[in-house]
Amino acid sequence: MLHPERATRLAEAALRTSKADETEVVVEQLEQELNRFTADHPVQNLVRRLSRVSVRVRVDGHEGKASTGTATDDAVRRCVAQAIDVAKRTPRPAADLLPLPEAQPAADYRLRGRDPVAPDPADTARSVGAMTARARAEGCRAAGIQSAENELRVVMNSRGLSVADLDTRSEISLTCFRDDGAGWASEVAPHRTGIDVDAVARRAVGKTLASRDAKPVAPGHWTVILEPPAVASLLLFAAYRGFGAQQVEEGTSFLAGRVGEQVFGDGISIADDVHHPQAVGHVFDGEGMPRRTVPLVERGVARNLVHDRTTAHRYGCRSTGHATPQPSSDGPIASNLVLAPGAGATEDLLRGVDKGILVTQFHYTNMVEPTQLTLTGMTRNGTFLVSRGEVGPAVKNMRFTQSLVEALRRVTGIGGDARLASALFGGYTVVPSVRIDGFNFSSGTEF
Amino acid sequence: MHEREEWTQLGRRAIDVARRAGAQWADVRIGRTESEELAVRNGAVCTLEKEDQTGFGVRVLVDGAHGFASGFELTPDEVDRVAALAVELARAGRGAGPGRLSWAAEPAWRDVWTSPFMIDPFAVPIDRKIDLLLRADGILRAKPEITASHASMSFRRESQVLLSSDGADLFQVTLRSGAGISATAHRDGETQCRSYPAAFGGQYLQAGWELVESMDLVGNAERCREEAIELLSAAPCPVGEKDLILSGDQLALQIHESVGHASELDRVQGWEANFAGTSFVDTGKLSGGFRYGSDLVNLVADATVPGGLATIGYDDDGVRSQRWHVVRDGVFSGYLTSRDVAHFESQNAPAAERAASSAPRSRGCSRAEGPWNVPIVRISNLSLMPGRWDFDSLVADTEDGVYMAGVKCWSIDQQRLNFQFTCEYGWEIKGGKRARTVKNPTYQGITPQFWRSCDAICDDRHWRLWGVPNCGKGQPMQVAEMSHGAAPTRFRKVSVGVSE
Repeated sequence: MLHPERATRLAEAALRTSKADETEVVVEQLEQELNRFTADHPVQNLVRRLSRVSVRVRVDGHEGKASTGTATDDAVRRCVAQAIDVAKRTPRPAADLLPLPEAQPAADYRLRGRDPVAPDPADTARSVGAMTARARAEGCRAAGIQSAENELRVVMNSRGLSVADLDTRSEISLTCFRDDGAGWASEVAPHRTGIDVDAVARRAVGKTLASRDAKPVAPGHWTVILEPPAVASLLLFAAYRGFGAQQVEEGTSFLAGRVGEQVFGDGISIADDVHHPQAVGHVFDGEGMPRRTVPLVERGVARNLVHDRTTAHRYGCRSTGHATPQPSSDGPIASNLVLAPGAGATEDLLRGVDKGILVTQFHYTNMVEPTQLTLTGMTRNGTFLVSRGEVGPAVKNMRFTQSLVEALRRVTGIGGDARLASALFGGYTVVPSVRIDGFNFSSGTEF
Repeated sequence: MHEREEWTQLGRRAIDVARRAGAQWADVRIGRTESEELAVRNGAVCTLEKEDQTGFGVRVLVDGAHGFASGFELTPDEVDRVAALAVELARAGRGAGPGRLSWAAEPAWRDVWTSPFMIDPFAVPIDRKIDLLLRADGILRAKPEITASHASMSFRRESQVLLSSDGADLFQVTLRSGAGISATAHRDGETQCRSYPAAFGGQYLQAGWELVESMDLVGNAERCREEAIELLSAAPCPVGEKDLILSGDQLALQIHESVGHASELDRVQGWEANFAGTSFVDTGKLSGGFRYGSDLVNLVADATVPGGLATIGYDDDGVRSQRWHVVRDGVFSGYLTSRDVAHFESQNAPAAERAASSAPRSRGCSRAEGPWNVPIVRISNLSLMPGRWDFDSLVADTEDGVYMAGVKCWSIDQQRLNFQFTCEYGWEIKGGKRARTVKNPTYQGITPQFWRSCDAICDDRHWRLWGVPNCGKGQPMQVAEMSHGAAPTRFRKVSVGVSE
């Protein structure tokens, strides 16, 4: 298990050692159990532990940083000395350096005090066995993971800031195949007990059986019903490339010059909220500042951006707690988007759809152009025709190339089924199913 | 005690513990990664960081079941705990299903291998590096349209001991360097970016400081800036079927996504199905002589090529590095494999090769992101062999086409068939001559049809290795590095642009 007290002692020792003008110490430790399996056995069954101590110092306006993976007092002392050496060798003082943050009111952090998710290889093997057995019973071949991880982060600095948080996460992700059909289901929860293993297996198998014998349909503009993971893989690009104040300043965001304007349909409200009951992630940012809940879009109107202390200083506001680990060229990044749900289930979104496509998951979504947030990606693991309000036969996968800004102006229904969902490139959002008209599929593939 | 000797002692201890606990086979990797990252953004130093990461990982097989555990404390007690945990994981995993892993044989190599370089980048003073970055950055942002300028360098040295219960004893040290610049221009709601010598941090190779010096970042900054500004008023990419000439850096990514990942045998077997996906290159395509590309297409995997980011003496399974054709004269002819999937290839080899080979052997593609992660099949250095064309002659030979350069956006389906790439910079070709510049140049295709349309490859004067420093794969996801050699290449009648 990880040792928060030991991590804190390491950070304190580094601060005591440092003779720099200002010093920041970040201690991160990860423990992860993961069973990766294929049809009838684990192909990787592992527990890994990683550690990183990062020391950032300022000396006469020069900044330097060093990190070590060795969690001993000696290694941390060497790391402090190296950071100071780096700072002294920097030929030019760092520009516009703000003093490191002072201690923040404890109430701002709302530390969640989660219990660690303990590795339990035998229990994990039993649930993996149950999933693969259910798949085999339906003639399916399975591949997936079951994982549990704890990520400890401590941030302390020489101005008195001191915070620690344990982020915990359990995940089951299962893909099944039979004939030409493929289906997928996944659940993520802050605790090991929060996942119904059999329900995940039933969903993946059900999608697989239904997705066999897929027929091609013509690319073009379709009404789509996107399940939460598909919505997540789109919305994450708004998080990475849209809501940060620096991106808006530099014109690389779709919100450049549009804050205060109606940018999406009036059914769309988006917040960044690490305190949402389903959210995962640390409650403070890379500088140790508390992550605040930020209403980003209210009824389609862009209201706020996320800030770190540097952009907040330029904008004349306070940090929202969205700094990446410093120093960084990325600027503040939204990291816990929550799309406000509607009412009713996914099935309710199907009603009234004369002809459309239900999408389980998008694959390899990427950004073509930033100012309209034009994205491209493929459907995957369960794509179905919707006719007269009913889910019909499977269709072959297709590529979309679509501005997310335009798409979120054409939302005609939002489900009440919001849940934590991730995407291929990582990141988590809390999102419901969404129905969108005129979604552009630009080409097809062979399966 | 020297670091290597200390690691070797701890490693032997781990193997003893694992064997006594019941492992039939075990290996241990212990190592260190030292890195230095420097970046300048908009005239200010934004990253100046040194990192030193040590750790170890123990991998075991118990009755064919896999177990792996890793830690970061290099102490006898922690080594004992981690080795025992790896065996516990393997034992527990037997309860998850009846299947077991196969493990291809390999001689127990005992060797020392280091990558060559001329100038140690860690010995070059930081102020000299920052000065170079600031000079390039100053040129990049010398015009008001540039809203963000960026110049960076990255250096990494990895040292690792690998020991196995069957006697392998390897010590390897690799050094790689990278650097690049980019400019983002913005005007009237339009934003465009241009990079040099490649996108996403620039060019990376297994080399020393001499690589940075060879790039001439300062000398190329003005062109980089002007091309970013030029794109602000460029025409959109035309839509339709055109002949397409890809630059070497873009073709490197094309090779990576549509051949490299597609020929990873763990993907073919479904081991990656829940994350990055599977592959259309099923094992029947090996025995059946599948036509992957035109006769001109020779794609060679080579973990021995000088400068390649995947160049190494032995992979993380302890398999000696090799060179082989993945596609020979257009025909698919070999996978990328590790010791646990090698038998799938030998079982499906063409009959003549099957008869000649006594036992399956891995191609040596097993690599991990540090000893604290489990090795998986990774793309080796994979290159399109040069052809016979001069670039100017190739353009002159193209009646109605588009030239595209610089990686901007990439996406490919989970079987590696339907891909769509957008580049930073492009220009139309009309009647054999360069015509207007186009922004967001995009092309889309289906992998085998695309490679079959290849009809001209530039010669070795235009051929070079391009580094890919950010290849993500596996659960937990690991980042690996590899290189792809390419020269500008033409493909006939490719779908370009995107219909709205």
